[in-house]
Amino acid sequence: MSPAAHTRTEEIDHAFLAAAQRGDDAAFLAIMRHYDRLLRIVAFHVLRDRQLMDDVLQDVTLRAYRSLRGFRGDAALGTWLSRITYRAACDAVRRNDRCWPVDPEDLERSAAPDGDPAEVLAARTELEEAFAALSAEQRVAVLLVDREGYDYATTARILDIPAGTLASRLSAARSKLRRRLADHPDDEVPR
Amino acid sequence: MRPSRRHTRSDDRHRDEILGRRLEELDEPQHGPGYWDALEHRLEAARAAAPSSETPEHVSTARKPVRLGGRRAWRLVAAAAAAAAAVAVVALFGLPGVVEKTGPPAVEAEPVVAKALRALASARTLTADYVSREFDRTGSTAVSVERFHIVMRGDGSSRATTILPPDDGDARETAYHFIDTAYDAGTGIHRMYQETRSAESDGRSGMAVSSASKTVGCAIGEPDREQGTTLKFAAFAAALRTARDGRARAADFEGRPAWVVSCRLTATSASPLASDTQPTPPYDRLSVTIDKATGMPVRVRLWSDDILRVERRLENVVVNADLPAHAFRFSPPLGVSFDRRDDGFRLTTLDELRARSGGALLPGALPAGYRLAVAATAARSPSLDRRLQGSSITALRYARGFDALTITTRDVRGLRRPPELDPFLYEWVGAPSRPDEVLLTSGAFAGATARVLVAPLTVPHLWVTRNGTLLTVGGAAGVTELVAIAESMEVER
Repeated sequence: MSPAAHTRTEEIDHAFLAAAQRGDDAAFLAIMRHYDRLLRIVAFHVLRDRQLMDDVLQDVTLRAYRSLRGFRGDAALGTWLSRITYRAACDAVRRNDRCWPVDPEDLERSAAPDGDPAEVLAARTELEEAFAALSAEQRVAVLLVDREGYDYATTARILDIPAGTLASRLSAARSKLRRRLADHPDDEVPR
Repeated sequence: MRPSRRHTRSDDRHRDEILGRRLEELDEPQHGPGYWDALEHRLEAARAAAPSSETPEHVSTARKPVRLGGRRAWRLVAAAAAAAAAVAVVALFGLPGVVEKTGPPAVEAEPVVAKALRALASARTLTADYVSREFDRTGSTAVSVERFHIVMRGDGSSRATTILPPDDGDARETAYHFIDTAYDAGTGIHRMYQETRSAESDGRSGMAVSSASKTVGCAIGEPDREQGTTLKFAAFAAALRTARDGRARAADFEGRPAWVVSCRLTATSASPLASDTQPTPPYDRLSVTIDKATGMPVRVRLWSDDILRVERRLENVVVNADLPAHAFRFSPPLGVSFDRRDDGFRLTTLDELRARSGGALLPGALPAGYRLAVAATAARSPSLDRRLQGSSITALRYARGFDALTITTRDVRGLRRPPELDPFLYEWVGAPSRPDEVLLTSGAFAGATARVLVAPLTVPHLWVTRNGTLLTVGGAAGVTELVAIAESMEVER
């Protein structure tokens, strides 16, 4: 993954929002496509399941579609959508402890005759394991701030927590990551 | 309209850029196939389902914003989701005039499962290649693999022939176990031929050992008759019933459109695999793949701790093809003759059963569509296994397409048979650790506690003993249906 692939999502032109609020579905879908990567970051790193991510983002889209007229612009549109997504993903985690959908592509990979479960295990990198050990809130926070370059205020709004709380949770997340990755000298992680 | 280039200002003083670069290795998956099409579909459904005053074009322009986490918003989303699910069902079953689409990423499994159960209940014949794989606790090594070409008919006739790997001409690699087994429900005759060749370390081909058997008087169904393979459509149906509260998703299976229904499992048991010395962890996840065109379940999979442990799949499936007359009988190769045996079951009729002294225990109620296929009696069980021991055995097999139910009664007086001993015990693959216990309230077994077990890859079954008579009911049915059958058993004369 090249660094260029991870670029913070810019705010979309206000004309799209205005058109969508007037009932232009194409404009609405353009908005959702524009923010799709940001919303996938938030949803996937809470849920850690692609199928659930898709389910949640579909529901988030429907909710945004219904609510868009009421959006006043108090926050940036991307922040607003991300906050809805974060809440919906957390709700989905709470709801989905009984039936957990399985991604058919994952299933097809698992069907490979050369023992795909081992491949899946082998592909689980140290970084992924360290990252998975963080809480959902920590995962999203560290990604948005340290990888994507979002400021504390925006990230705190998405997570619906005070900026000071975000700072302390970020600090804890970074410390955990450093500790987990400390046994790997090639890792370029500051001490 | 173009996206603006306005940036959200980053607080670089508090950003850990080195860690951020390391996190570039992490990625978020793209959406599944058809995501955006489905989204447009759902938006259309949401627009159609919502009252006109709530569509975006007509929403009040009042300044008060909709509270996103509030109940009103959730009701709107639920209405949209329900409409979308209805659209998905329409798409699934291809109602006239409706263009089939991929559908939303996940829908309720119930309509998909219902279609699969109907397909099983209406099938006349099936040919397929059947593959069963069971993995060790790492999920990386198959400890058991079976491959059969199978032919089945709705009356219970079946043929299973081992699919051997391609012969590469290397004698050292020619170790195999080949088995051809056929059961003809019309005659009650079971034939089997098997050939085993071992590989020798000195590079020479090992000795082949072959045998053949022809058994008359076979038991007509579970639990007395074991099938030649692990393929049991009742078990597939049980897996479907288990997954019906889960989610369904469009997928491809062998290049054909399919559905995958999946759900989490609770309270499943240890079920030792052949090569394991330690019990298997409980199965905690199940999926069933259903061929969209035929509705047939073509794959069942079970996981423990997210490691695939069991897979049963059908490939090259052909449903309802005409079968040759000799599909369920064969002769052994030259030089091999059948060893003949008699398991002691004899076909009979309900009238003959009623005419016996004491009459016959018969069901007064059956699930819709089931018809009596065959009835048989045996003086005693041919099995030495104590779970099947008994005398004066009566067996009734009812069929509904590939769905089958077998009801047996036997006299177990004087056998000191523990009531919890499951006559179907060898079927336990992924079974719950404890069967449900149900107090029967009517019929000849009223007052007795029946044990009922419905689990993936296990033939659903019930057993109960009262006054020295053991009743078993096994086959394609749910808990409620099994109990209803047991409670309908009455003596008829």
